[in-house]
Amino acid sequence: MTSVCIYFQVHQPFRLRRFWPDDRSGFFRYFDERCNREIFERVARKCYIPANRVLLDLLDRYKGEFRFSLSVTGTLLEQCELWGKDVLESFRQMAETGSVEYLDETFYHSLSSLFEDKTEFIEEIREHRESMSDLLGVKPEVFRNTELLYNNTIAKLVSDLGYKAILTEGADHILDGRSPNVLYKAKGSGLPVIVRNYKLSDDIGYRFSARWWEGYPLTAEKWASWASGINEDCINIFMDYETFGEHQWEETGIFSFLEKLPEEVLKTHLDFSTPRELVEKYSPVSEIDIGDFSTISWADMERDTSAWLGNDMQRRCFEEIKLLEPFVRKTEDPEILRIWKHLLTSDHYYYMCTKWLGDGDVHSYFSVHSTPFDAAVNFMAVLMDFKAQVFKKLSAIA
Amino acid sequence: MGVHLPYNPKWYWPVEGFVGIPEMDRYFDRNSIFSKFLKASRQMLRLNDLILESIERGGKYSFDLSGPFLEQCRWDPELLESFYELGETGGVEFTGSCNYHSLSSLYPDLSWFNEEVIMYKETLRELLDITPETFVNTELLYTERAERILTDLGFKCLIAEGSRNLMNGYDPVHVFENHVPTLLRHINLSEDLELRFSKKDWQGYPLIPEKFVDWINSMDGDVLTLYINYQNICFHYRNKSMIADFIRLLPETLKSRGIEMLTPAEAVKRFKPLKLPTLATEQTIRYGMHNALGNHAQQLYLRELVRVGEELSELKGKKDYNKLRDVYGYLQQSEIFFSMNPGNIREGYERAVNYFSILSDFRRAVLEGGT
Repeated sequence: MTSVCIYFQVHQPFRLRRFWPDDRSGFFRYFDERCNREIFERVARKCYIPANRVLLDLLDRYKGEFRFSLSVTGTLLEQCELWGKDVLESFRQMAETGSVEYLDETFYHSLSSLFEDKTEFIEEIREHRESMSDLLGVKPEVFRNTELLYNNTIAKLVSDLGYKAILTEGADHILDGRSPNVLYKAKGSGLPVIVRNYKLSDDIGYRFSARWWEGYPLTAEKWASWASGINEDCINIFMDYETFGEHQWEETGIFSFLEKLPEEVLKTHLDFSTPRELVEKYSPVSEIDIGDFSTISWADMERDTSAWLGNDMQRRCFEEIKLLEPFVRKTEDPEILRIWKHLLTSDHYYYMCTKWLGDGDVHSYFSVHSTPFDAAVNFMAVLMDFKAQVFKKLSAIA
Repeated sequence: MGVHLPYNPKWYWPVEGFVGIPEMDRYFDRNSIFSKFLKASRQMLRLNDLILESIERGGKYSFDLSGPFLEQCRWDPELLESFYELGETGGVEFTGSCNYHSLSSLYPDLSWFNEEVIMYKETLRELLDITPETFVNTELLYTERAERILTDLGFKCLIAEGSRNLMNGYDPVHVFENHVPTLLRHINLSEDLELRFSKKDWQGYPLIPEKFVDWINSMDGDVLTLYINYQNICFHYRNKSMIADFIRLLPETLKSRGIEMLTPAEAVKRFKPLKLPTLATEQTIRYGMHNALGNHAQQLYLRELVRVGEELSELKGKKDYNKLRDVYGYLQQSEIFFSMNPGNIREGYERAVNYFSILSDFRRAVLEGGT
């Protein structure tokens, strides 16, 4: 038996507004209420609501034989509470089926795992865990980090926090000829590592509607036949949930593909398992060793941190936000703290990315900025204003 | 002649963390500024000798030495002495300007502008023993808002950019009526000397004094104002072009066509001013206002400077105030604005991110209040 392990990433950031220092105050001085609401409502209409409906139907029809996992960020949950109670409700219904495993991550889909000091990272995981429990009534046991950022230190920390496994990218340079279709364990902590089969994942996530691709048009039957050629332990299919209806529009037939998928997969020797079940069924076959300075991720061709910290502007913004941490904490102002945390969201840095070749399209897809340079100047302007607010507060306390 | 060498900000990285009262060296690379100055000052010495020769042959010039440049001149007394000698000839007028080469005449509150002009006057008196009568705002900036202050400070003449929105295609060949009588730069003829002089593919090449004077002679008016960056003349000089002969022979060639060289203060005394209604409504600066303040980054930087200025003024009387005020001054240099908009958004915005980082560290220091 080989298990297909599906995990969908569900996330929307709080995007910044085109900043101008006017007299607005609080959270929406920096974050764009209208634009975030519009994007959320659009994505809910095109993806979350219809895709949840399809999945709930499938869960009902296959009664436990079809299983998958979801990771929902705290920022998305906040947006659901503000603008989409119905979306939240359908995620809750999925949790109740018992066939959907929810994963933990940082609340803010943040880059805090890249800080040398891991206090904030741990705090954000805790925040996420609490909101999963409060809003969806679940207690995740497996961890996936923002954009699958991974290194030995992150794995060790996640292991210490009691998680049973961690997800990351099956990057070629890490596997070095080994298969992504087995479990690994992290060097040092021994935490089981589930790595993404990017080929079979991207066939759906990126190439589904690509006419230049020899696999076009992709049907569930065709995909299942490719997958069934694998006779190892697991086939780990990780992708953005927004693939359904947003990255791949409804007109491409992505929803019919999804509807057919369980049937076609279950016709073969394959079954469905969630990450938690994988680590019960299978044992790690070898070790993965990734030092702190070789951190990997699932982003772009490089599969490293260069999508967020690849250029001078990104590193500058990240450095500033990092240096601000002790001052933010010293204010003991919950609103200031919340804004700072939302400025750690990886998407802000992603919009500043200047690696155009190949990946540029994805970078600009959900960005409200016309260029990465606009994004960087805008972020720094926000930061400049926010920093002043922090120091004003501190001198008022002193 | 405009003489200006900016203090360019460095690629700042907050290595110190967010702490302390910043010194100039935190944001500016004074070593590189110093070596640039050294190189330029040697060339200027030679050029000053040439100007001296031209004055002996009947030439008259005025010099707009920027505040940052004057500060740097303190490193080279010989150069200061050479400018002083030029002043002694009676053929040179030194003009007033904003001490930090800033755009402060555009700020909502003009008190900092006022302060800067006074500061500059003091520096000029200290270093060259001169009280200027003519004012040249940063990069020939013109805004009607500054007029009252300039009148109050006793300026008799103003020089600004003769841009299209002011002149509407006509040549600026008069003194124009204004609170402070105004001369406008003739852009084309100035740039012939400043930019095109050494260009072999230019149709005017080679530019000899006779040709240039004929061009001037073909125009009908009272007075023509040429404003040229001294650094550019240095460049032509270094390239062994014929600029030396040109400068040497210009006064005599002009004289042979009945044209006299005047300083700005002399010009406004001699000619009856003409009305120019656009002076009441338009603003201008070299290369146009949109180059200084045309994009989001520039507007944000300006807005933030103004806010920091307000916060800084509350620290008056504290020990660190003067130090902070000086750094604040240099953070306002017009180059910072222009370099955020070089026509290439990539370069400009990468710089802007750096400048924001600098300004925000500075604001942090101001907010922490100093002692």
